[in-house]
Amino acid sequence: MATEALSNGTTRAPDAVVGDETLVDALASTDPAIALLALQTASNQARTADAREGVEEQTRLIEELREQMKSAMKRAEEAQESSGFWGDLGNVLGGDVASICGVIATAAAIVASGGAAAPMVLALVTAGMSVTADVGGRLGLDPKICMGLAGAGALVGVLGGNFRSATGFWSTLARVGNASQGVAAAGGSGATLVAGQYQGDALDARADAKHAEGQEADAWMRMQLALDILQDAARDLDRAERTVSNIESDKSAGHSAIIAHMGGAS
Amino acid sequence: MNDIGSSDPMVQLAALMLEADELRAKTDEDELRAAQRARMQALDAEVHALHEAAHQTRVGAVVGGIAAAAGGAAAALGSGLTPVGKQPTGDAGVLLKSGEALEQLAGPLGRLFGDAPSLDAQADAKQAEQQAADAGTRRDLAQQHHDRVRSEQDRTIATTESIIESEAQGNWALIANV
Repeated sequence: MATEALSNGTTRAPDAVVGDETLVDALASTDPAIALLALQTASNQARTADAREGVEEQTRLIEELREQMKSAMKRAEEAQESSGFWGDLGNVLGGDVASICGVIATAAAIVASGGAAAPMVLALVTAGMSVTADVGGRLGLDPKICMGLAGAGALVGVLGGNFRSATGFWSTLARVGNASQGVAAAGGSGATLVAGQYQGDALDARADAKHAEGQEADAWMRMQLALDILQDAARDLDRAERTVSNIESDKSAGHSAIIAHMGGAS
Repeated sequence: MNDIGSSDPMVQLAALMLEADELRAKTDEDELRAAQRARMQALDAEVHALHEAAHQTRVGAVVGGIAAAAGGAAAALGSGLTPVGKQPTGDAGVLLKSGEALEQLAGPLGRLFGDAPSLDAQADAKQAEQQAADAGTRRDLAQQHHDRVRSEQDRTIATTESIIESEAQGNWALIANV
């Protein structure tokens, strides 16, 4: 009976636990093989209990680390997007806007100084703005911008016609242009600085994701080791059970042989 | 562990094989753990290098940004101090030229203090990643070898059991027939 109970206990899933009473009965058995099997079962139960706890703990850890990794990846993506936005803004401010301001300031300075080339510069600026507004409109540029450019071109043309009397305006425009160029360059630098900070954040988040990934792989390995222990325990029990079964079978065969021998002798 | 007692040379040989397999399995387990430790150390180094790269990127952005902003401000001030239509001279000229120079230097300074060290750190991270991958491969190989050894042990035990069983049956048959 004890053998049967133990067999039921050992052939169940590796995490099945043989009842304490059954185990005590088996350990007290007069049959050494049964007692040995019971001992092995008891030893395995202690070993597998730790392994089962390990598996559960590592499973929880894997879930947590997976969440951490997802969160870090999301942070990296957001930081990268922000970095891209601020980088573009920095390029536009520090590049295009600052250059345009510089050109305007230079042109205004030439006009304000009454240089010989002033009428030509004004004519070119006027023509440039008008053509840009026209071409921009055909290419699908925002109509408001086109309208603004056309209006500015017309204003420059009107002022250009009376540029001698509007010297003060051109001087102011030159100064404003210079100041705007500086402000745009500074703004571009600031935006680039912010973009760099976001880029650093993105790298940090990627490093965090990598860390979580490594920890997750480690947890997987620990779980695998714990599962190996459970598997080994199940295999050991299986072997022990087979061995005891063989011993019992041998005993039975021995008894049969002795009886057969006695029958032959009589 | 393999306390198989038998006078049969085959069984004794099997016992020796099992002991050798057990030793190999233990060695594989040690190798597996050592490889995993090495992998984790390499991953830590990679993560540290990536954080270092992030830090250097920020430093580079700050240095480049401050240089460009200071240069832009100086150039704008110099330009503002210069009368319209005149060449910048004196303090205004110095401010304008130094501001422009600083603006020009902002990019290289940013690369020197940011991009270059950051790329160095990223290269270190890549190297550590490679080491981690190597350690991971060693670990996988140890695991495969370990599984194979266990499988061989199972086969050896099954064969030994079969031999012992045959021996026992033969003995009982002899006794019955005496």
